[in-house]
Amino acid sequence: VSSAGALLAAVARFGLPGHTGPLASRATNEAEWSGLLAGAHRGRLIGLLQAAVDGDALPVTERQRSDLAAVHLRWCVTAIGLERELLEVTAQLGAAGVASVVLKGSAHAHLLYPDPAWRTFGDNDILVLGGDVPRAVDVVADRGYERSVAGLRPSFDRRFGKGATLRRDGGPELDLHRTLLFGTYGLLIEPADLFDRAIPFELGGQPLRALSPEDRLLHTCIHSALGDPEPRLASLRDVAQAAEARVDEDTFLSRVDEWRSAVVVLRVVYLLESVLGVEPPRLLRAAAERTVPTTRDRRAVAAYVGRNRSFAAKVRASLSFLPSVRDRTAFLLAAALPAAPLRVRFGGRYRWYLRALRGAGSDPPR
Amino acid sequence: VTDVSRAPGVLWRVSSGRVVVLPPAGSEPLLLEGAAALLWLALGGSTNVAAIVDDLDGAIDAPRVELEEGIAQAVTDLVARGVVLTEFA
Repeated sequence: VSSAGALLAAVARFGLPGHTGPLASRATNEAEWSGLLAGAHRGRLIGLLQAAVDGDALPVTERQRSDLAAVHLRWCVTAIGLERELLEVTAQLGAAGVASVVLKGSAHAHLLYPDPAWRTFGDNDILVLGGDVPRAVDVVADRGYERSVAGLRPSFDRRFGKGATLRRDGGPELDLHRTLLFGTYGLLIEPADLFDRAIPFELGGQPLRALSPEDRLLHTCIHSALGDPEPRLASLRDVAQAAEARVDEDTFLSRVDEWRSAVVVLRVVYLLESVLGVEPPRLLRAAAERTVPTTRDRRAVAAYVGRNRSFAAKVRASLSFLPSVRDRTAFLLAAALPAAPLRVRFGGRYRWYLRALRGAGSDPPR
Repeated sequence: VTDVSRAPGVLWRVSSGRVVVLPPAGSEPLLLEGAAALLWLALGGSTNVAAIVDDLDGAIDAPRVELEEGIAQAVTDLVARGVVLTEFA
């Protein structure tokens, strides 16, 4: 790890218990500072860098302080603009009878961090029930949003897909989630239960809903362990923050079993220690100790963070986790046979899906 | 006594001692600096102008009379911009 990388990790840890002391003894030189600022900007760590400077944990020159303040202010303006959009979208969905739960961004900023300005974000993520995905897409289309990638079949969207990613005028993304992620670990989650357990929170005086503390902690684990092949410091910090919240241990451990995600937590424990550089919380260690990873587990995790992270790889890895032949057949058909408009639109890609189907069928279901 | 509060629907963040505020109606954020930022933060706890003056007396280097006038003026300005509400209690 380079010294710039080590300093960025120290910024990502700043403010956690045992990590409130100085990050450096002197101001960094201009080249180091440029690298740090750029890395923090890319890694969504500007809020934590600002907190470290505000807390006198990182000495800076006056020019560096002023540069950082300007960048952080822009991120803050982005955040409150996204929150305004979030309030309007959720209100519009509610008026159309579509229930929603806020994921990540604003919910994490307000519910996990001591100050929401510590957690910068660049898009909105909203969970809706599978049956509501098409209606939700229609509702936000009235605001000018269009799907970035065409859907597969409506049945796929409703039952197996992660959801829909939309954009408006090239602006920030709006992710309408049906579940927390695509593939194996998304299929093991019952989205309706996430709604039943969701908790209220207030944003700008308007009531919204977020995941329960236990679901949120496990979601942060899933996102940080499987979201990117190169683990993101900001996502790992979310895990550390979520573990600091009041979480019912028994409920969390039973959720880990229910979502068969002990192997995911095991990866998070490793990443917290080796990448973020913090002592993994006892609760996560306890969850990780509940598994000895099997070949099937390793294959499932590799479909997210291994060399082959394709749609087909995720479909293949997911099959053996589905409980019945009927489920596996429905999943394969929905994933492999796009609806007619997609065949026309993407032409040659249809053949690629056929290859995926053949590859998927060769895996022995367990 | 006049009660003072942040307007419902207002969104804001603190950044390096400044406060950026997005009014409930409109997309142009306001930037509050110095005494105005302190006033905004005081609105989280205090509910009337007299209590805000008490809170900020000492934090802002100004005679109390000037502080009272300044805060009253700032509150009027923030009300006009739709980010603060006042109500006679």
